[in-house]
Amino acid sequence: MNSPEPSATLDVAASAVANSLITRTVSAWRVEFAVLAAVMIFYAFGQDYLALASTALVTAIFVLSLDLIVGYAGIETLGQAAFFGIGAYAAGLYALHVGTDPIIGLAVGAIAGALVGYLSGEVILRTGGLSLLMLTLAVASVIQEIANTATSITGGADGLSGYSIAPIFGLFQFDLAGKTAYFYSATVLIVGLAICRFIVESPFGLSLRGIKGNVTRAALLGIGTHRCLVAVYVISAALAGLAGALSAQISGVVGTDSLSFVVSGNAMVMLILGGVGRLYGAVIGAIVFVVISDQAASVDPKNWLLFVGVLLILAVRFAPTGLAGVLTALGRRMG
Amino acid sequence: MASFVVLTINGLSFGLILFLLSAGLTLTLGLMRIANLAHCGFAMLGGYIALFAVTNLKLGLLEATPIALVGTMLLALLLDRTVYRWAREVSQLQQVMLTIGLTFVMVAAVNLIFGASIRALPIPEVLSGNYFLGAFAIPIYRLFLVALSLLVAGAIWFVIRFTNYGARLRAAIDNPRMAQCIGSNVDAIVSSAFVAGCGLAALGGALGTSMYPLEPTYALIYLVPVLLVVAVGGLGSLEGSLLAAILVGLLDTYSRYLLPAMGGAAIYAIAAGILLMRPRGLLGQHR
Amino acid sequence: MIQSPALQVVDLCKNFGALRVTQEVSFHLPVGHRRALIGPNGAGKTSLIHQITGVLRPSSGTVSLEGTNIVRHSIQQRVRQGLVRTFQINSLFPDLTVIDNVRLAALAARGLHRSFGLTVDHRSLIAVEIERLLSTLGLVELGTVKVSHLAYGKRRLVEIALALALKPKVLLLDEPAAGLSRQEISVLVRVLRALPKHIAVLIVEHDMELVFEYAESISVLVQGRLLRTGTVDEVRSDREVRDVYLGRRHV
Repeated sequence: MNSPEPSATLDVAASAVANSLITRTVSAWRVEFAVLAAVMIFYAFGQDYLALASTALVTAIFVLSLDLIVGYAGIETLGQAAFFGIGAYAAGLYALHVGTDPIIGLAVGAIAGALVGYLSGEVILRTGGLSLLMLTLAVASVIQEIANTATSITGGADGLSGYSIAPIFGLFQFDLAGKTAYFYSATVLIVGLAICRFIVESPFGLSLRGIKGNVTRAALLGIGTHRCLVAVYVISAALAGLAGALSAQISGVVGTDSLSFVVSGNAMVMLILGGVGRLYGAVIGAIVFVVISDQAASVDPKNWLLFVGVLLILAVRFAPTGLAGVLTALGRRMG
Repeated sequence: MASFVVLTINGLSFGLILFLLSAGLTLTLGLMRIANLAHCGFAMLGGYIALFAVTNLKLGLLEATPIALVGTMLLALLLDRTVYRWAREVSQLQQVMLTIGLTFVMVAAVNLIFGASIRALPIPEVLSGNYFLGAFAIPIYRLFLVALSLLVAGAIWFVIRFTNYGARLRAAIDNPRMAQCIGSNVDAIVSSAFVAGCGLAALGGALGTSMYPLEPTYALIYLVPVLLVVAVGGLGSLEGSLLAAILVGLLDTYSRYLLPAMGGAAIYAIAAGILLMRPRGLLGQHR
Repeated sequence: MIQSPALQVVDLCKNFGALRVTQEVSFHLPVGHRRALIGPNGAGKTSLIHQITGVLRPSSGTVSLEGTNIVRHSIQQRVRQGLVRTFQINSLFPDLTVIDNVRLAALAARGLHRSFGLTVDHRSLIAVEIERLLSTLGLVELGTVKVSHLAYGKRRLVEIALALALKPKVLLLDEPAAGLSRQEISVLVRVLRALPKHIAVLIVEHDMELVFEYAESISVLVQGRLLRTGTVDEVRSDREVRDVYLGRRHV
């Protein structure tokens, strides 16, 4: 028999605690509106760069999935590309053999990512620290090796291609200028961002931050920490799979390199560059990285990696909170 | 039977070179607790310095290798004073970033200087040719690598077990703070072990090019097996790394021969299985 | 029907090989009772607490919470059933604010920690609960401060807030006054006195002034055995107790 709860009173709205909870939630949602505005403004002025912009948006979704586990649950991973690649292959194979509807394709990618995330997460999340880091790497390597070997299904090193995608909702045909792809990926990003925001602001999100800060104590509060970690890992894998599916639909090709360590590593770079544990940091990091790498690659592909390397070292040394942290600090200084 | 012997020699030579590549990393992880993803970069640098000595100075591989060793260790010393000093002050995640950044710089530098093509160093004449076991040929160079690596492993073991330096190194791995208290200069031990470890990697990088050929992405490609060896062996345990490296070399060679359809996936699956049963690795310290 | 005691320990024994850290310890804690557990260092207080909370499995004997034997229950199950402890060493969530620390415990106590959203009712219920706890403990102004930025004494209070948010029936306080200033201890005593009447408290404490001021009864543990249990005055005047324990400090 539980002791009776104190009844909720009407002056709750006036209470300091309630106020602090409400203001925080509202201010957090501003970011989604800012992204929406940026998407529209960019469309008005940047018509020539829509393809690049779509890549940046898809990448942002992928890095977002990483921030969910790294920034909020403290799961450090070097194998997130596994879910991106699985999602891409699932969507590509679905389009090739089953049906061409893009929305169902996205769902297939997300489910495939979630499934692999569950199977691997259930086991590897029992460890932690460096072991976990290595295990995520091992899982991704196993999957990439399988994709490399199973050439009859994946197309091996040549990649998977030759599939077509039907118009979205039967209305919006994918066009050469990339307008449809641009709005398609922007919509998915904004929805993804909103879902992530919803999750991290929820009680479940608070539990995750608790587990990240002190896993032993979280368990002693009666929180099933392993179940929570697996749950967020699955959600993150689904989102990564979604990003992969989106990429497969927009680019029309899936290669085994989408599963590689370099993809995982770059995503981490973008996340750290943008700022961990803020969600919008993931978006900023991905966009900045994709745009700069495109510019640098066309001007001077050889020095691009040198530039990123130096940038990373300097970023850790001088801006450990990432671009988002720098922006926040600047904003605070100005007002 | 004879084919089994050939496979075993091949697997051993793959595994023992892998041990040279990994030995320094396990020490660094055990001592500094730094997730050093740039470690394979030092092996790559060793390989390319040897390549430079062979092509530009017209030296043989055996003369070029000591130059590679010393050159890499000097570079390691320099980096220990800078990037790795910073790495000790930040979180694990930022260490990952810092060392990935360093790896990118190494990859780009090698690409700029030597180009993107895949290179292997010529095997010295004395060690070329084959040893015949029935109808099967075993390259003499492979036998040389096995013998040399075992010799090096034995030398490391001797230093760590029987010298004063080794005792302080073990103390520092077991408990860095305690070692500091009893007056060991932990900082000097850590730095020297780091530099020596980079030297071992350079040795593996220079001598192993027939199995692990040089290319600018060397530092990234071989990072995965090296990290696996270290994790499976147990952080900070050299014996564990030796065991794991040999295991990886042998099992990978056998499985590619017996189950070609599985390719390289088998070894990753086995490694993942071992880590799940023993998260701290085969011979890791269980705290 | 007679109400079962909040916490009952019967014939509890724990051996580590030949070392007997707990020997046939039996006692019960009526609902709402405030008991202190004292004893010299190495008497086995921590081992006893660990067996009650489920960190250690006893060699034999039972631990019952409101008449239910919980000896086979996990730590988490016991917490959910209302057996809650505070910790000597600070173990809060350093990166979360005071409010979020307490909120997490309050959510966990209601099994809401895995939900993706709360109903308006739950939301206000939890807000009221947090507000009430923070004002009891004098932490309202610090609500939006990260725990890692708090002074040590304040963290001890947050620790108690966390425990209370878990809706305990039995509260085990492990040396709550350790490391606190006299002034902070007086705040602590006020807080402990204001605890809801239905909570049974077992306080392990070395500060005898606090024990004598706060506890209704005292159990003395010596070498793994319960030497005496009685009212504050009985224990204070007991010669044997004075000899083995109090004598060293108070004479």
